[in-house]
Amino acid sequence: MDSHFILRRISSLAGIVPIGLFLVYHLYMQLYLHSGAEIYNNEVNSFYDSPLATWALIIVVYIPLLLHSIMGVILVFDNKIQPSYTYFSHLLYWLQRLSGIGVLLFIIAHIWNAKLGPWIEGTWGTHFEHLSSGFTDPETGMITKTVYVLGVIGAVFHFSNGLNTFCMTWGIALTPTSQKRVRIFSYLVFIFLIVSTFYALSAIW
Amino acid sequence: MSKQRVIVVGGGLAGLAATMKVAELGMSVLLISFLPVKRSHSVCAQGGINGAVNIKGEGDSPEIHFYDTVKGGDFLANQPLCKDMCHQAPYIINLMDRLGVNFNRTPEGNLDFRRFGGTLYHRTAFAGATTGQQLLYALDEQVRHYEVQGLVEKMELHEYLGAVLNNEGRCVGAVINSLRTGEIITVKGDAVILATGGPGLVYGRSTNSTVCTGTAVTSAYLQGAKYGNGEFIQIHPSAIPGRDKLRLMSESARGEGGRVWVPRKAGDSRKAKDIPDKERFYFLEERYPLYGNLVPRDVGAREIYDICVNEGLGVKGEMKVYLDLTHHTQEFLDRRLGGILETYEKFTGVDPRNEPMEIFPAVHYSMGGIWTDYTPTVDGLIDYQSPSNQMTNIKGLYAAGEADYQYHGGNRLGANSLLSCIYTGLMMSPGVINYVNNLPETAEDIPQKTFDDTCRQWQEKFSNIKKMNGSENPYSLHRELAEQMITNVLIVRQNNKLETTLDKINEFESRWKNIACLDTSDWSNPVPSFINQLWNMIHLSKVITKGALMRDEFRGSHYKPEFDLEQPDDFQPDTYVEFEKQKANGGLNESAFDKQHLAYMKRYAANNEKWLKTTIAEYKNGTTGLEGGPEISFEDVDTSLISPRPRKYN
Amino acid sequence: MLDTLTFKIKRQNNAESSPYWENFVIQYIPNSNVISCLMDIQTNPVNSKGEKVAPVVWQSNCLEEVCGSCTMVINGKVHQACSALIDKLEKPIILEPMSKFPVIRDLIVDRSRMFDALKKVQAWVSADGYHDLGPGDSQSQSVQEVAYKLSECMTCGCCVEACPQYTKDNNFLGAAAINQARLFNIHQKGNDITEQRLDTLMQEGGISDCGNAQNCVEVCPKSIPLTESIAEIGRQVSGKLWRNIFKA
Repeated sequence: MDSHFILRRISSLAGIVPIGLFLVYHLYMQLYLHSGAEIYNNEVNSFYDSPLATWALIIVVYIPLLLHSIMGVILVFDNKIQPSYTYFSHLLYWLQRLSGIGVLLFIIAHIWNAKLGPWIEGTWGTHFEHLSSGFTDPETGMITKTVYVLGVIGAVFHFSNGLNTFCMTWGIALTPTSQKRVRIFSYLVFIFLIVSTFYALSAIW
Repeated sequence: MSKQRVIVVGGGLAGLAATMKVAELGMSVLLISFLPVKRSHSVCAQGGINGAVNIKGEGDSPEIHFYDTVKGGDFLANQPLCKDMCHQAPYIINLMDRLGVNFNRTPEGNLDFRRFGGTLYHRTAFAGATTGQQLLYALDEQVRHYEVQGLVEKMELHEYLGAVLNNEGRCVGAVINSLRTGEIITVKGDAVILATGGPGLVYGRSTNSTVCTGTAVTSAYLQGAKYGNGEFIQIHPSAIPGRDKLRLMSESARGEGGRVWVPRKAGDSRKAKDIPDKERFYFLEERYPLYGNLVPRDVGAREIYDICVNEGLGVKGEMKVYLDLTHHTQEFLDRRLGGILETYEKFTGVDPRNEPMEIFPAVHYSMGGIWTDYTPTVDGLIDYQSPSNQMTNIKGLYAAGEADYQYHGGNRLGANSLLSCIYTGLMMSPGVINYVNNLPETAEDIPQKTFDDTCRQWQEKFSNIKKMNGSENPYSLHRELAEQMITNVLIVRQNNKLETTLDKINEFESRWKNIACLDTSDWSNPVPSFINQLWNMIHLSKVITKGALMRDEFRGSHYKPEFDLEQPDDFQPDTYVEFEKQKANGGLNESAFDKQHLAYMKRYAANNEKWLKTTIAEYKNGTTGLEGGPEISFEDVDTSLISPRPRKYN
Repeated sequence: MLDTLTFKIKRQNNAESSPYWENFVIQYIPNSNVISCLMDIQTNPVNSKGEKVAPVVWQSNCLEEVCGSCTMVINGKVHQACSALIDKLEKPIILEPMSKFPVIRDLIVDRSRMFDALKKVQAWVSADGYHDLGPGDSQSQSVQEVAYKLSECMTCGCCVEACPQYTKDNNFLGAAAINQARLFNIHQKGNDITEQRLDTLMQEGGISDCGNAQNCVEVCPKSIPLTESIAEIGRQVSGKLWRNIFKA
């Protein structure tokens, strides 16, 4: 057992618990967009303003995310591109890496846009207004929307396909049949989260 | 005293078994192999390995196995060795099981056994239809373990060129050629074991792998080793036609109930499936009601030849017959024969689970090989401590596996080859070690000059080969040689054709000198090595052909129609035992026998008197051919345990 | 009907020299495989420009897909040359050496890394000796069927050639070795060695270098359930990870 193995295993675990769970919760919160500005802001603020929120976020989200990202970036460069093997799971393999890089960039932009930006500007707390104004801005609205759409698809894909590879890595799904079941489950998770999130975003589209 | 070591040449079953046993006994081994050992030809063995474990409660025993083996070989095998091998067979199967071979199992979890040719018992342990592969891998793994421990050193991708002999003619090392760098070097060893397999490539396309050129064995013969029973080449009844190779369709297909048939009507153009049962000629079942499709291979191949050539009933008029498994369920076939059926499907595009396979006879195995010695005990078994077991007439040079000649006589029974390979490798090892331990000086102590001189000779030989710039392509010349052998020295042999073949081979020998070395580079260049192999194949084909020419009889796989003793249909072999008994007691009561039977038995006895002998070929300069060729003599066979009697399978 | 056949072959004189492409036009014969065409080139080593050249070299032995020697990249995909039937391939036929191993010459590569991997995972049964110790353990048919399938691996290299995670620069053991570790962990002789195998697989180059691209199982000529083996070893190392954490 060496650090190579342990870091990869921790990174793999971190992708599901807690990052994946946080992603699900985060996407769930967006459903409050349909409840209007006040309730949405209350919900979000009650999460972020709770006494332990900052520490919890650092330990549960930021550190695992940082580890997962660093490991991911290392992984992306240690392989060989072999386009002649046109198998579906090989495609997923590359999409996982591509989405990983894309989502990393998106998260950086997202943290800047939705968190650090408002803090610096002093508009922290008016999440709903911030988000909807970003979406409806006549000049940059389209760009913001596109980035969000791609970011959300990427993140949801990366998570649900990650469920699939997680089950193989940890030896949860052994046989081809169970691996197939897990794969179908991951498709369902993907569809469910995508539908839910786009429904949420439709409130401010 | 410097450290002793044994050189094993060849990484198939026999070579690996010897390597692992010698290493277990504590002596270091240098293992030389043409290929990475895991890719050796033993992987091609499919059906199984024989051993009378009697798991089916049929009353099978090593003695019956021994009898079947000797009878299958038409009494040409030395019996103490056969007996010992058959008695060791159950232990060898248990050993391989312990080493991790995934043999098929009975519902209770015991080893499963199936039927094979030439016996009426379920005696063949098997791992799907890739038994050879599984056995080889198990031995490969053991040897790898010793390699990690430092007791075994492997030199893979090296070709054995010849033995290094000291001034007393004792073998003290080997000359090897690196197939990668083209460098020729000598390695020192106190004993050299040749476990280099068979010579199928002499016939061009056979069921053998591309490394099976018989070069190492021929090299030993050219250096003075005696070669035994060269003319006994096994033709396997069922192979799949192919342009590069004739792929084997295992006898296990018949062992599991496969039926051989041809349409009753010559040239029937209907698809196999459309031919109703009553219009099918199950010729083996009809002609051999007792053994049916599981007659020994020599019998099977001859019958197919007879059906196709003499009766003209071959499928679509060609030299092909159907092998039918379609009466079995898919599940049964996949579990018991999966590997070979996949191979058939992969290479022909036809699914043998739904359509009968088209098969034909092909060169498969050489019963003959380098002459080797043995020491029997008083009870007709083998004295394992004797240094002479498996030793050739060159001191310190041993042979094992298909490379030797001892175990299968005139015809090998299916699934006995894996047994004989592992058996010889294991059996000989204590004796080899005794030999090495009792040497007056180790190979390390031999003057370096001995090695350098031999090495230089080979280096010169290869540099001369590289300079060859004639007009013959070596690969085309090989195809021509093979064509001659396939046409004239196969199932049916006729003296006039054998004579012209010998002339032809001599012609090839002179044409060999006009070869162009197509590639003169040093690095990873197989051409010079192949040209040398071709030279050896030419000489080995002389041994085979001349042996066939000299042996004027019909025995085992060696069939000369004009010397067929014509066994009467109603003759029983036991009658002959009685006949011999009466003769030995001095009171032969001729009137007690049927007249035809008596005449046949007299013919048989006279024939045995003359021909129940091992053919020994020795290389002599200037005897035949241009530079030299085989001088044939005959040597008695040890038949002390089972008295020879006519074979009968119907 | 075609009467000629073009082969485009990536050649290389030795490990150091740079590769070049050479075309060969040979007579088309139905039911040929790639090997028999290479043999035809040997008997008449003339390239498409009419120049006499050194015959193409390759490694082969059994020609019936059980020895694993003749693995090469045919039309972009790894395959045994013996079982690559001409009639099923797109023309011209492009032959390249495997890309994950050092090229020795033309289509020959050095696959010793795979055999070294078998040493690392200790793919053997530690026997007490080769003398008569009676029969081995009994084994159920269902276990035999699982183990038999795994044991058909011929170390041909298809799985690692197609694996994007197996590169010339890393030291990933690859699917074949992981599968062998699983095979010998099934064989219940010596639990110590089972743990040692897992130790090896829990290091750099071990199981954690698998990226789940699953090309291995797609290209395996013996249809060995390699992803199942990887998942099984994944489970075994997960268990060992757990044991290590609470034992330490």
